[in-house]
Amino acid sequence: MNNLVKLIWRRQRNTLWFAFGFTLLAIGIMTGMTVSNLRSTDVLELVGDSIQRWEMYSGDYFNAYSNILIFIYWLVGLLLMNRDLKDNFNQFLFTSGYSRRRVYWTKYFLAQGFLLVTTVAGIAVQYGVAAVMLPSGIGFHLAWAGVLTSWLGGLLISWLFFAITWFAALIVGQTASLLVTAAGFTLSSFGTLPIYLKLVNNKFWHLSEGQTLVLGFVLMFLATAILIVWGSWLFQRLSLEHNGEYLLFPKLRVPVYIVFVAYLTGLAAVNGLPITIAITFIFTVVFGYAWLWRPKLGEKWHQYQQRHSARE
Amino acid sequence: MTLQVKQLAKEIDGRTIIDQISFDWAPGEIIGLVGRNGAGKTTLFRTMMNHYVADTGTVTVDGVDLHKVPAQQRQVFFIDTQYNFLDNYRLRQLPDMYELVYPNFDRERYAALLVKFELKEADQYRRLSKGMRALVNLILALTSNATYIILDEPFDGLDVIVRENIATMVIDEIAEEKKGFLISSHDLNELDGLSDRVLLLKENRLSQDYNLEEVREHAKKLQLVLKDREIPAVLKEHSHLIRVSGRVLVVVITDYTDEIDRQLRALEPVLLEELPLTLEDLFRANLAHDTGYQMMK
Repeated sequence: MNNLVKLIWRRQRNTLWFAFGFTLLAIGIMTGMTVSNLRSTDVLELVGDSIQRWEMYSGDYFNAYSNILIFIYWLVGLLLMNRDLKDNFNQFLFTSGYSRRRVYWTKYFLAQGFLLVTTVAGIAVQYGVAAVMLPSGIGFHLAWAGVLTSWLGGLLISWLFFAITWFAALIVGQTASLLVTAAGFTLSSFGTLPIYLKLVNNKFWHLSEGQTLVLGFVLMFLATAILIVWGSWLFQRLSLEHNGEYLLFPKLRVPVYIVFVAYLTGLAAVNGLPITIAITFIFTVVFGYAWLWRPKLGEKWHQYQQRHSARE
Repeated sequence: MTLQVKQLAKEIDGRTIIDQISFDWAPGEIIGLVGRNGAGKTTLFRTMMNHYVADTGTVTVDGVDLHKVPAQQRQVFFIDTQYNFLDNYRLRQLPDMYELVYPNFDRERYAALLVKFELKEADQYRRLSKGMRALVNLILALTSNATYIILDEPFDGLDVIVRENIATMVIDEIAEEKKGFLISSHDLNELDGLSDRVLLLKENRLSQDYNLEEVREHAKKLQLVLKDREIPAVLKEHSHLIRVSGRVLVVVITDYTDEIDRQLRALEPVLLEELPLTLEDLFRANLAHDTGYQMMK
């Protein structure tokens, strides 16, 4: 282990061990509670027949890839980037004698390596607890098709969610705002699924279920790669004088504003009525401007108040 | 070996904070960086250390750009007193971090210095007093064995005992001329007797680079009581008024010559004695826009 890996491990190990412990505990408890409450009179099989198909399996009592794992990737991405900023560890890293690029990728791969171990352990606990605590009379039959697809899809979603919060925490300098932004963006991202399905299945072309799934996986991987590589580029240009402001990169203000308005209006355009689209557009334009330019607006308001009180 | 800062500039929110800063710094030197509050001293350090990305300019060590070869940064040590990661750690944990960055970090000396200054290894950094933190910062700086050590306002708000401890440690460290110190302060008295060179930061620029030994060779601080209340021409022309109390004048003459001495003695003053010249006197004399005599009118 080289010194940089040791340094980042020493810095992040508490967060990572917490994530590991929380994951195993949460998955163990959730699976145990779900499984042990089942009655053989109501349920014959823990896993449905669709586990036989090459698609991601999500059933009433059992998910082949736990949502807790996806949440942990989301949380760790956010914590790893945000804590180094808030605790001023970035200052130490930037003067550590290692290039910023190396610091960034070491931190990324260390986190990914540890999260992969956490994922394997989490899956082992989930499947193990389900097998051990399942009441007699209920079957637990898995098939590689559904399991492998779920693991692959689950990992891709996890990596994407990690990339979203990791990137958000790199560009947002306020923790509370970061949480709101990351949570809002993540929740809204579920609205992109109907858009995607409409785009791949329409009057011009039609993709099969398998093709839709594979294309979805490829797009998620590409989105992850773009966010992570873009993050590396930004990390090398991160200047800490904007620490504590909403955006750590003032030049991103206009792009973020455009993406915010276009993204939410786009979601409304596909999933909503014309009136919803109009309201969403007006709301995002006004709210986005007020939010992103609020220091300047606040200053102007302060000046106005001062002028007003001076006249009185 | 030299650290060179060349044309360093940084703008924040459209305001120029430091502009075209250039200077050389060699091991064995204790350089004082002086400037009023908000002059840009800390921004200069943060930009030198890559916390802030410089708009223009370079910092090199032995001709190697720190930005291009980051490993050279290990020759420079700086703890940002306002924004550092130490708060959440106990003193015994800090070497675990620093030895991974500074290859010559001296763990034994670190422990010995903690004992010497009665600092407990189990104490959390954030629970220490301001003076104790300053000591820990200096202990880390010294035990890092970095060649160039930057101390940002190390004496700010400290009692006289801690100040003396820090000054003594810095002077002891410089003896072998393997290390250099760059110490910022807004209080000139703190640097008196410590720095051999002083950089003056004024209006975002480095306005002066003084070699104090040279300046002191030519300057004199005099206390005078003259027969007349009128200020003689020789004083108006060559001196800067530091203090006036009744008929007692304290002046600094930055370029004291035999001719000036002769002219002063020709005035047959009631009192003419030399006083110890402080750094503050020198700066008052060098920076005053006028000679100070206008105040007496």
